[in-house]
Amino acid sequence: MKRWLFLVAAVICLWGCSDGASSASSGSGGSSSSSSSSSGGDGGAGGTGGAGGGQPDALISCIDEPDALPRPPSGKLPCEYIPPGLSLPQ
Amino acid sequence: MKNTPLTFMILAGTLAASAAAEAHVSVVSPTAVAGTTAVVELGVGHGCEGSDTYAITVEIPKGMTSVRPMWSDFGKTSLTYDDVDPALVTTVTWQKADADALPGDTNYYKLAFRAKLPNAPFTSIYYKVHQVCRAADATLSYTDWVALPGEMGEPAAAQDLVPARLPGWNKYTVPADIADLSVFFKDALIVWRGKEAYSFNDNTVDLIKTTAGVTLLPADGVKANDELWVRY
Repeated sequence: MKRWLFLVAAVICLWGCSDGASSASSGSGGSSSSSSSSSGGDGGAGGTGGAGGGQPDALISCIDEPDALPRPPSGKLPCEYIPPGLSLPQ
Repeated sequence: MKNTPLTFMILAGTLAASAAAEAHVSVVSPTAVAGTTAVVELGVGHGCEGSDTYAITVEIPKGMTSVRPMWSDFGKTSLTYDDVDPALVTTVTWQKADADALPGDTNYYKLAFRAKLPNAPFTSIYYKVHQVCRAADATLSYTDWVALPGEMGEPAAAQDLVPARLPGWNKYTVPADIADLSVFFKDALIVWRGKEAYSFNDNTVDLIKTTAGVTLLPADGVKANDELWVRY
């Protein structure tokens, strides 16, 4: 009877240890998973950035599309300096 | 070597002339927006040959209304009025009290009045100023700053009237030839007439020169009735 109880207790203990180990493993796995998920997120953001670098579909604020801002040493007048209605050859 | 004394004299004359040109009674703000009410400040750079400035009288240019002078620590004011229209101020005088007269020419003075400026953009107005100085022995001397451009004598104080503007693009039709765009558009980012562009900024001028399809608009190239796009 005592032996049976000991067996049950041992099984419960193993379950607990196993659960703890599993928890710990799950924790570090979570961390790893979190990191991996974060990388995936960055990749997504990179994709968005790439899309932003192309020709925009809509006119949006410069702060949402920093790559579209003119760079000073472009060698030609920035578009902000071209008056309304004037079209110049590229 | 033979020309050295002559060169020296020319150089000395040039320096003296430029010093005289700098040291006149001038308007502190060289430009003002046409048709607005503004405070006009006159800066008195110096007295007369070592004597302190004792009184200043400014002739109010035609077309300027609603003149109200401001007292200053220089002295109190008095006005004269137009014979035909007594509401029009024709001169303002600032007179220093005898007790405040300085023994030498040491101070800079700023004298101000509020006025409604003529609604005549792209023109200049000239304030003729009469200066009275008082030496330590109470001897008075006089200098008239009344010469208009092209005239001999001490130059009147000039102020250039610019058109009203807003940040961004502004469209103007010029009423008369403009001899020098920098007078009216020094603070503009860029000025366009058709496909010709002007800027006072050398870096922008370089970009104008290297942009396809654009030519440089010379500073004296704008004529009456030209249409301009100006970005501020």
